[in-house]
Parts: sequence; C-alpha cells; structure tokens
Amino acid sequence: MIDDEHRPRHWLYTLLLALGAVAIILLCVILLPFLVVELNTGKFLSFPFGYYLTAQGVIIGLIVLVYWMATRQEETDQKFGATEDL
Amino acid sequence: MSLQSQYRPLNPRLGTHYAIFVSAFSALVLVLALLEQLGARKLWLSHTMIAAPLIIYLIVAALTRTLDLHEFFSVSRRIPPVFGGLALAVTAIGGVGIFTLTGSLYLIGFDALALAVGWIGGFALAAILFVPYLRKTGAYTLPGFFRLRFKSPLLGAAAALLLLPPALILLAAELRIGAFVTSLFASVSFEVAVACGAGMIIITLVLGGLRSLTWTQSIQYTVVLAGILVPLTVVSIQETNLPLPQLTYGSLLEQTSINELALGAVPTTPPAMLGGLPGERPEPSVKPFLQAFGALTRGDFIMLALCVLAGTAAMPGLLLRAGTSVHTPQSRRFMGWGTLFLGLFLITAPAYAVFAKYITLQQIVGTSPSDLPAWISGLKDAELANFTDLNGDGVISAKELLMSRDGVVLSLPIMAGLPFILVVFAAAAGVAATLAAGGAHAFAAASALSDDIYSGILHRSATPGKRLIVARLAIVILTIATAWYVTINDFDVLRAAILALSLVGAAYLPALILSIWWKRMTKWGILAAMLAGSCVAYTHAGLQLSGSGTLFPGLSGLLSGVIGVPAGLVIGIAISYATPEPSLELQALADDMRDPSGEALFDKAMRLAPLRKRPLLPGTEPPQTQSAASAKEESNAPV
Repeated sequence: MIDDEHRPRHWLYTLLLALGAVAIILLCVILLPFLVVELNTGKFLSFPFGYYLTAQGVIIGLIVLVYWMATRQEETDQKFGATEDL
Repeated sequence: MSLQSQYRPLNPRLGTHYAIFVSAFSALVLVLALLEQLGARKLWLSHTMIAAPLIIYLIVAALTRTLDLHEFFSVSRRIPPVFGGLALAVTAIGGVGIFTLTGSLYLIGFDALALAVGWIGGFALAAILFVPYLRKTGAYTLPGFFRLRFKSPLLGAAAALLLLPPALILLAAELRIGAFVTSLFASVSFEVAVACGAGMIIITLVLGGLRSLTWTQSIQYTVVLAGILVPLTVVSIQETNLPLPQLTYGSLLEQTSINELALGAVPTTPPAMLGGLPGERPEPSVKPFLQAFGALTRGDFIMLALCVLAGTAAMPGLLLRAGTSVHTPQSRRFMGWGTLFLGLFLITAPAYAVFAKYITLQQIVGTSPSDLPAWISGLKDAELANFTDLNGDGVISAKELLMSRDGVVLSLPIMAGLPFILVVFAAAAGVAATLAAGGAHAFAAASALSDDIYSGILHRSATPGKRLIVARLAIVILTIATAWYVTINDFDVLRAAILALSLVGAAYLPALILSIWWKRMTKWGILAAMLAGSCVAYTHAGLQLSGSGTLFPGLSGLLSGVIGVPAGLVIGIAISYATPEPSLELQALADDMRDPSGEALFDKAMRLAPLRKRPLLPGTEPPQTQSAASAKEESNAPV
C-alpha cells in the first residue's frame, strides 16, 4: 500500500505522465493528417514518408509508447512504495 | 497471504497446452494442403477447413468450462499478459476489422488508414488512462466499475442499459460478416451460417463465460494472424523475392502508381459526410492508392479516427478484461501485448491491400474482356468482383473493374494463383475473428444484463448459482435475438461498426475519464455525462441517418461520437459542480483506486462484508449495513 504522505506526489507524477502520453496520442491522430501531403515528398524504405508515418510509424510509435509508459509508471510506483505485494 | 486463496494458481503447462492446439491447427492445414496436391475435391477441402477449426475451438471451450462465478466473470484474475493481449487484440480486430479494413484500403487507399490510426490510438489511450484503474477496481463489467466507484447500483444499471445497443450492433456486424464468409465456403445458406455462428458463440460462452472465451480467443488470434500472413508472405515471395510483405510493399507502390495513372485513375475530390467510405456492393477503385484525402475529406479523416479511437478506448468488451490480469502492473503489460498484437495486424493489412491492388492492375486492368485470367470468372460468380466494358473501347479500365470490399481478403490468394487451401485458410481466419469478437460483444452485453441489472437492481441477494443461470440465459437470448435480426435485415457492417463505436465513445469515454481522473466527480455528474453524451450522439445519428435534419450541420451521423464526447464532458463537469461534493468515503475509495498496489476493491468489499448478510455484489449494499470491520477499514484510508 502507498503511504498517505506520498499519495499526492505519486498522483502528480502519474497525472503528468498520463497527460504527456495523451498529448502524444492526440498529436498523432490530429496533427499528422495535416502534414502528410508535405511529408510525402520524402522517401523512407521506398515508401513516401507521410504515408509510411501514418501506416506504420504511428502504430509502432504507440506500441513503444504503451511499453515505455508501463515501465515508467512501474518505476514511479516503486519510488513511492506502491509496489504489488502479492 | 490472506489473498492467495482467491487466486487459483496458473496452469504451469499453459504454454504446452496452447502449443498443442496451435500445432493441431497447423497440422490440419498441412494435411489438407497435401491432400489438395493429391487431388482432393475443393468442396471437401473447403468444408473441412471451415468446420475442423470450429471443433478445435469447441474442445478448448469444453476443457475450460466452469461453474464458478469468479471464474466465469474474471477467470480468477490469473490470465498472463501475453494471453490476455492475444484475446484483447482479436476482440478489437474481429471479422469486421479483417475484411473491411483490408477492403477499404484496397478501394480508397490511404484514406482508410483513419480506421487503423483510431484503433491503435484507442488501445494506447485505454492502456494509459483506464485499464490499470479498472483492474484495481476489479469489477466484472464496465457498468460494474461505475457502480463500485460511486456505490450506486442505479448508475450501474443505467450504464448497462446504454451498453446494450452498441454491443449488440457490434455482435450483429460480426455475425453478418462471418456468415458472409461461411456461406461462400461451406455451401450453406446465409441464414444457416448466421445460426451456426450464433450457436458457436452461445456454446463457448455458456460453457465457461470469459474463461472459455479468453482461451479460445488466444488460439483464434493465432489463426487470424496466420491466415492473413501466410498467403501474403507467399505472394510477397512471388512478387518481390522477400518474405517480409510489410516492408517490401513499398517497392510496389511506385509501380502501382504508374499503372494507376496509365489506366485512368485520376486524383479525386472527396464527397462530404463520409460519402467516399466504401459500401458493401462491389465498386470501382478510382482513387490512386497514395493520394491523401481523395475519398474522405481531411476533416472526415480526423473525425473518423477520433470516433474509432473513442469507441475502442471505451469499448466494454475490451475493458471488462482489465479484471482478468493478476495485478495492476500486470494489467499495464497486458495492454502492451494487446497493442503489439493489434499493431501487427494493422501493419499487415495495408500490405495485403497493396499486393492485391498490384496484381489486379497487372493482370486485369487494361486487358480486353476476352483475355482476362480465368480466376476472375470465379470471383464474378461469387459476387466478389465484377467487370463490364462500359465505354466499349475493348479494354477494362480502372473504372470498369468493380471489387467487393469484403472480398479483397479472399481474392488475393485467388489472384496470385495460390493453392486453394490458402484461400480457405484466409476464410478460416475471418471466421475465427468473427467468433472471437462476436463472443466478446455478446459476453459484454450479457454480463451487464445479469451483473448490473439483474443482481445489481432487481434481485440483490441472488445466489451465485442464480446469477450464473441468468448470465447464461442472457447470453442465449441476446445472441439468438441478434442472429434473428441479422437474418431479416440488410446493413453495411463497416457503417454499423463505426456507428456503434461512436455510441460507445459518447456514452462511456467522458464518464470514464471523469470518474478516474477527477476526484470531485459525483454520481449524478457521471449519470449526466453518460446520458448527455448518449442523447447527443443518438439524436444526431438518428436525425442525420434518417435524413430528417442534424444537430451539427456537415457531420455524418456515423461520426456522432465527435460531438457526444465533448457534450458528455461539459455536462458531467457542470452537474458535478452543481451537486454536493462526494462523501469522504467515496473520496477514500477514489484514492484507493489510484493506488496501484493492494487488493482489488471488488475483492476487498467481498472479503469485508459481514458473513451472514454478505451482499453478493459489492456496491449494492445499503449504507447502514456496513459492518464494523468495513467501517474500520475505511477509516484507515486518508481523508
């Protein structure tokens, strides 16, 4: 169980992490379509770059984000003593 | 540990058992491939390939049957992250995902990626914002989470009622697309195929609820991914000499663009209001694959992605799985695996579409109708493709070849001249995905009905046995009713799924965000958020789709989630400020929910309830029956 004195700081860290992650997700969904046409002039692995970002870049990026978030959140939990005792 | 008794240990040979069933399936495919080379009849091959996997799924379901309430609804919270991720991904993909995403990518190219982006975004959002907290709460259903979080059975029942329409629409869409594939390959009528699909779902769920569902789904995911990847990899080797279709299709894009231009595909301007979204009838693919926003406007693209994102992040059939992982950190890893497995499919689908497009352009378009390859007549007979030389110039141009959106997955192996067994393998993948996702939606609807309406409101002291009977009855009745609806009505599965995702997002996304991330939230605020979001979404969708007006001009009714979610957020916050602050007890509960360590709130409430008057469902006990032990426990929590 987490100590009462650590609770607000633990939640603040959690909240900031989550806000950052949500901002990244929404950026991917909302901002990328505005850049696709310009980015398509570049090439990546023989894909037009804008297309590649939408078809694979976002997907790979978000998978990495979910893993990275899980690790960071576990570190945060550990730091504040909120580790699983099962 | 006092908690250990609740957690049955995990089967140590789980991996072995999983491997046995996957090997059985691989053996089946290999044997049938051998028999085909030896001259077995195609009809017999396709019947066996469709029916035999069903037997494998039924065996798994029978082996994992259960009569225990905790097993039935939460698999005793012991699903390892990898297997949970497999089940999660296949629920999200579903038959609708396999067939319509690939087909839409074929027909409208880049613009269909809105669906893929929304999907993966929804998974990431749920993984970060919701799932760990839903796991800590430990409710069996999504409405159960609201009931437990605000100690209000009324709220749970309201959430359960809002859950039924979208879950049943999704189930109907899965049954329809599954029956479409089955009736093509198993020589049965559409109605019989729907009945078979519904029967499979009912048997799986009645035998073991979420337990049977999860273990069959983990096998079904393997079938789905293999069914897509094996034919695609073979085609990739044929065309590019490399077995990595996801990376090699880039080299085909340039040639495809040149061929498209030569054959009269010119950049198009998108119609408004999702008008360019492909429908169920075969249609021509006139938009160049790489052209961005030629079928959907940029605004529609973003809104479609946001609707799918909202609906996926809040989908009850996915979120109820949060309670099956061992503890909160595990639930985060489980979402990680789920995102990875979903991502694998989403990266593969565009490759599938591009290879299909490349081969069609090479072989069909620009050829005179008399020189067409033989396989096109097979596709035409099955109504998966059609062609007419409209302008009489003696060649088929891009406009004159019509492809069925849902048939693209089945067409690629036929076009590439692969052995027939690989065609049926792709079909079997579709059937597997349909059963997996349909089962999850049916279970979400039935468990909400039994858990949140029957034992939450109607009969609070129902024994576990009675609750299981009601859950099973609900599964049977809801699935049969939906199957009946599917047999008498025609609808487009992609549009139905987008509408359902919009409605789910509008009902639950604001409520989930506010109840987890804002401590000041009151139960009336949540109720208002759910009702306001749903009212706006249902009204707009109803008005726009029936053609009698709109709430928001220029917005397709399918995308009503885009206005439902902000409406829910605003009304929820306003009503919450207008009602008295939540009690200290509820605030302590919120703090406990945010603490990633310790026992699930649901399990704790079960343990602390007085033995004689133990409420069978936490959150339904009237306040005055709180035991001394429970009161003491609560007073330890910070206020």
